[in-house]
Parts: sequence; C-alpha cells; structure tokens
Amino acid sequence: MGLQAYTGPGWLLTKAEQLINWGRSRSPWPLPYGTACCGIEMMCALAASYDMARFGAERPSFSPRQADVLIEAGTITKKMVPVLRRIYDQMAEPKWVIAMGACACTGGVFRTYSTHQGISDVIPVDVYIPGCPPRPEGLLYALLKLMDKIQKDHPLRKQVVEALGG
Amino acid sequence: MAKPVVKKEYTFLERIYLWEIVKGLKLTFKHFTFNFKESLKKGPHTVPTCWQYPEDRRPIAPVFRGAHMLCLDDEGRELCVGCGMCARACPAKCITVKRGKPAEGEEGKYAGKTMSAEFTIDMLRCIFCGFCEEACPKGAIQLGQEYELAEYTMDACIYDKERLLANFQKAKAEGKLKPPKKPVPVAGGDKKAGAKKVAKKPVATDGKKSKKAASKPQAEEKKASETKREET
Amino acid sequence: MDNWVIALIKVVFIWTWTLLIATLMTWVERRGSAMMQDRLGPNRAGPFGLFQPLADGIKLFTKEDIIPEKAHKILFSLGPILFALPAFSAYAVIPFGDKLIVNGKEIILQVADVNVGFLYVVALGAMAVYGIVLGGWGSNNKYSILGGLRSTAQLISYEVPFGLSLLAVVLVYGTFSLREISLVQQGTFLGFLPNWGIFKQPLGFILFIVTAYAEANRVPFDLPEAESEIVAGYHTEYGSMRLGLYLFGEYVNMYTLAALMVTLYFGAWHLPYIDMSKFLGPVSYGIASFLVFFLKTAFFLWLFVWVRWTVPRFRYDQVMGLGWKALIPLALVNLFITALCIQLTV
Repeated sequence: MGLQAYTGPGWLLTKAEQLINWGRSRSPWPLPYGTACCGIEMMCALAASYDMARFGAERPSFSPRQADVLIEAGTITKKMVPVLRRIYDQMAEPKWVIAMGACACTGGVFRTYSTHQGISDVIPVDVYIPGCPPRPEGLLYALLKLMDKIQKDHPLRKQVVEALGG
Repeated sequence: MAKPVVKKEYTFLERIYLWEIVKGLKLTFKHFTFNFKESLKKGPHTVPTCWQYPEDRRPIAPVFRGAHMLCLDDEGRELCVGCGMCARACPAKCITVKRGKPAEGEEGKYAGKTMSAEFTIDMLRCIFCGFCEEACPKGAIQLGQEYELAEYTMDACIYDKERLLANFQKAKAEGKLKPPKKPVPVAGGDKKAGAKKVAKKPVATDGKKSKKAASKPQAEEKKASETKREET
Repeated sequence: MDNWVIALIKVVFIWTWTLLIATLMTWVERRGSAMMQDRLGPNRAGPFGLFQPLADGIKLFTKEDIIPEKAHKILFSLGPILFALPAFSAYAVIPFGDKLIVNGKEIILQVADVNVGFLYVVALGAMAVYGIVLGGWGSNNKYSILGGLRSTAQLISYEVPFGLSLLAVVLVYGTFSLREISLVQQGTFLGFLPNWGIFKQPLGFILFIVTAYAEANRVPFDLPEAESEIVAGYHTEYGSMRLGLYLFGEYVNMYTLAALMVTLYFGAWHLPYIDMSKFLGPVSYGIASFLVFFLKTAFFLWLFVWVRWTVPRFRYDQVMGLGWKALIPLALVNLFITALCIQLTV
C-alpha cells in the first residue's frame, strides 16, 4: 500500500527536481571544442560583445571532467572522430552537446572522403545550429534552447522509479 | 629586408614592475567605473560594448544572408516556377526541387505557368552562400535576416515549402524584406567599360573590327539604359 | 554561558561567514572582471546575478563524481580535502574585531588567541602544498603531475620571503599573537601617522603582498591555475564537488591572506585617528569593529580580483627568479633595516 501511494511524483520530488534543474541550467560550463571557422564565432560569443558569461557560462574549461556542455564547433574529420568520442566519454554526467554549424551537424558542404558527415552518430546531440558559421546570437539562442531543455529534464525521477522497482 | 629591432633598456621603474602594475590598475579601474555606471542605466542596452541578447539585438545589415524564404510578388502570387536553378547552383546540394503544374483552380496562386510541387532545403547542409538567390531567374528565393535557427532534432531543420513561405510572411510582417536589387552592370554596357575594352585591343586595329567594337558597346549601352528606365 | 558554548558559537559563526564570503567572492570576481573587460557578467541567475554562486553550487553537487581508473584513490580523494581544510582552519587565529561585552562577560572576537598567532597560519599554508601535490600525483595524468610540481615549487619557494617578512613584524611588535599586534596598532606614530604596521614596515608590506599573491596561487603567480586554462593543471581530473573544494579553498585562502594583511599592516579594526570605544557602547563597539575589519578586508579582496584582471601571468622561470633572486635578498635587507631601527630607537 505504501508503494502504491508513491508511484507518482510528489510535491517534494518535483520541487527538488525544479531546484536541480534551475541550478544546472543557470551554470552550463562549456567545453569549447572549436575545430574550424565556427570556433571563431564561438569565441566571439564568449567575448565581450555577446557575452555568454551572462548566462552563467563563464568558465569555459578545457578539461572534460569539469564541463557540462560540449560545444562542437567546426568540421570533424574522420581522424578526429575517436578523439571526440573519447572526450565526450570523459565528461561527467549530466552532459549535453551543441552541434554548431553545418559541418558539425551534417558535414556541410564538404562531402569528401575525409570529413565525417555529422557528429550525431558519434555522440548524442541535443541542439543543432544551422549556419556557416552561425552568428554568435544564433549560438546564444541555441544555448537558451538548451537551458529550456535542461529545465524540463527529470533528474530524480528515473532513480526513484528504479528504486521502487517500477 | 627585415626591419632592425632597437632594443631599449628597461628603466628602473619598469624593472621593479610595481609601478607598471599601478599604471595597469589605473586603466582597469577606469574601465570598471565606466562600465559600472553604464550598467546601472535603464533599458536593455546598458554597457555600450555588450549586446545583451535576447532583449537587446544588434542591428543587422540588410544584405545579411540568413534563413531562406520563398517570395510572393506584389499581387500575392508565388514567384517560384520550380525550374531548379537554385538546386543546380547550390554548392552543398541541399535544395531539392520538383516541378509541377498548378492544379485546375489554383492558377491564380502562382505567377508562372509552372510551380514547385516539392521544395525542400536541408538547413543543416546549407552554407548560406546566396548562390541560389543569385541563380534564381524570378527572384523567388531570397535569403532573409533570420538567424535564430537552432532546433532539437535534425528533422526539424529540413524546411519544406510551407515553412519557407511562412518565413516570407513573417519577414513581411516584421518589415524585414530585402530591398530591391540594384541592377548589375552588364559587361561592356557601361561607357567606361566600353572605352576600356576598345583601348585594350591594340592588336585588332582593322577598320572593321574597331568599328564593331565601337558599335557593340553603344548598342549594349542603349539596352542597359532601357532596362534601367524599366526598373526605376 | 560556558566558555565552550561561546567558542562553539564563534566557530560556527566564523565557518558560515567564511563560506558566505567565499561564495560572494566568486560572484564579485565574475561581475568585477566582466566590468573591467567591457562586458557584463552573470545577470540572469537572480537580480544582478546574485544567485549565480548558488546555481554553481547546485550544479557541482549534482554532477557525477568520477575517479579515474588508474588513479590512486586515496591520494586523489585526499588532495582537495588537504587543500581546503587548512584554508578554513587558518582563520581561527585571526581577530575579526575587538571584544564584545555581553552580560558583563567579555567575548573577544577571535576564535582562538594562541600565542603563536601567525606561525599557525604559515604552517597551515604549508599544508596546502600537500593538497596540490597529492592531487596532482594522484590523478595519474601527466598534465596534473606537471601542474602540481610547478605549483609546489612556486609555493615552497615563496614561503621563504613570506616567513622572512613576517619575522620583521615579530621584531617590531615582539609577539606572534595576532590579537596583541592588533591591540598595539592604535593611536599615532611619529605624531601624525596612524600607528599602523605599514608605516613601520613599508618594504615588509610590499614583500608580504607579493608573496601572499604567490601563496594564494593568484595572478600574476597563477601557474597552477594557468595550466588549467591552457593545458590543464593539477585539477584536470577533478570534477563536481572535489573541484568545488579546490576552487573554494582558493577563495578562502585569499580571504585568510587578506585578513592577515589587514591585521598586521593596516591596524586590524582601528579607524585612523578615531577611537571608537570612547563613544560607542560595548555591544555596538564590537559590531563596529567587526564591520571596520570587514571593510578593510573587502578592499584587499577586491585588490586580489583587480590585480588578477590587470596583469598577465609570469613565466615559470620569471617566478622562480623573482622569488629566489629578488625577494629573499630584499626580505633579508628588510630584516636588517628593521633590526637596526629597533636597536637605534630602543
């Protein structure tokens, strides 16, 4: 009887989830994985004109263990694929990926033997940004969309359901 | 030749470095107080150098190449005839066009005799070069000023015809349509260009040829001026 | 109330206060650095971004804790703890105000008035070196080891001028105890200057402030951190709250050193020429002295942030050269001059 009463999310669980989601979405520390021209626009978004630090992304860390969001900006060649996978695996959960630019999403205009046609088969991507390169405001819009996505996440529910054996 | 570098000796104050630090501190303090005062102003654009997206948007040049839109003419008819020139011209091969004939009662919707039955652009392949805009003979496809294109899935970034028409309606409602294009000067049609051409041909000094060269630019100039009169 | 209850209250209060100041410092650093760089720092997380440290904290707490497979588990876990705890504990001997008289009982605003005063602080600073080198070694990562070793070399070589400049302070005041040093710093010196330490020890103050920046791993001596931005130094392999402990420990270290600077050289809680105890009641005097001390410390904390975003960092050989070839001789000269002056005036 006790288990049946708690199958749905209660007030405490929902509130705790909201708090965690609020905290996570307001402090997305990016891992700037800039390989090509989109990297310049990403640097521009991190710089003073279109300050990404306003959203809490102040500390771009190059160490994957400390970052939340992998902003993949630029072309991924076939040589780079295992490196990208490795860096993604080294990141700590919860982690998100933004694929910035045409080359990151689908290989863009480079349908060649050396370019990997999009990173979505290497790592799971959360937000895709078309553009070549996308404007820094485009990247900020994608970051806002990612923040929305994080806010709708359910970080605690999966574990509670598993713990209850449901 | 390499420029010879003159190495200056450091002065005593520079060597102890503390005075240099103080000078640096004065500069950063100036920046800090200026920006602090500016940040207390009202309105979305407070600090002059920082564009606070999303409330505060930077003005975009009218020739900015953003998301595509399929345009209507002044009477509201679709300009696209489904010729597929844009698909041919696209370097990334992201446009797919299928030509079709308009259905029985719908001929008033289209400006041309044919229309595009299917028109898809894969935005994730597009490099926003604008070749499709240049190649289009009817001026139907244009690159607008929309740059907020991020989506959660790859399928959501494949724009079909409805989406492209909707883009046009949105741009029209916001007043962000592209200004009409200035006529591109035809080669040899301009007086100056013509004179240059004649001057550049010293070899062909036949009477006939030079006459031809002289008459050609005049004829083209006449044409160019006629088209100019038409468009203005 | 019994003495131990009062001591417990003081400990809890100072612990909470230090934590609060460290979180506030992260906010001050981000907004302040942003203003200096012609941009705005975090301003979405709350009014003026004040909840940004809270969001960071929540995020760090709920992140996955990774221990690399081949890392030495004990050393890896011990690193951040050995770095953060001494930073917190060092604040036990710093007088953060004068006394408070409640119910006829005199409560000094200092957790423990030991007679070895700042020697305790220096010793704990040396413990922090363990935190860095163990963290770097335990990570089993070549960048961490390099970062950790460089940081260790920097820290231990700057402890010598740090200690020597403090020795000069001992010569002047004749005691290690921080409370007694603060009590002496009232009134005037030479008739017109406030009786603060800086006027008696100008060279000593410059030495102290430079070595304090080196001890706190702050720019221009932030080699261990710099590596984090360029290559990734001793906290490469740390994520979630272990990283939080490192980052936090750094801010608390900064706070301790700023408080020490104020205590030794700027007349801990005394206002320049005014003697507050003459016109304030006992409780309000205690609170006022606390506030004065805090404001002075706040200025030095701001100076830490200010210098960080002004000056580029030094190269490793420049740091070592400065420490051994410039600061130690200067510290010895300072000691000699101080001893001479004391001998001539006594």
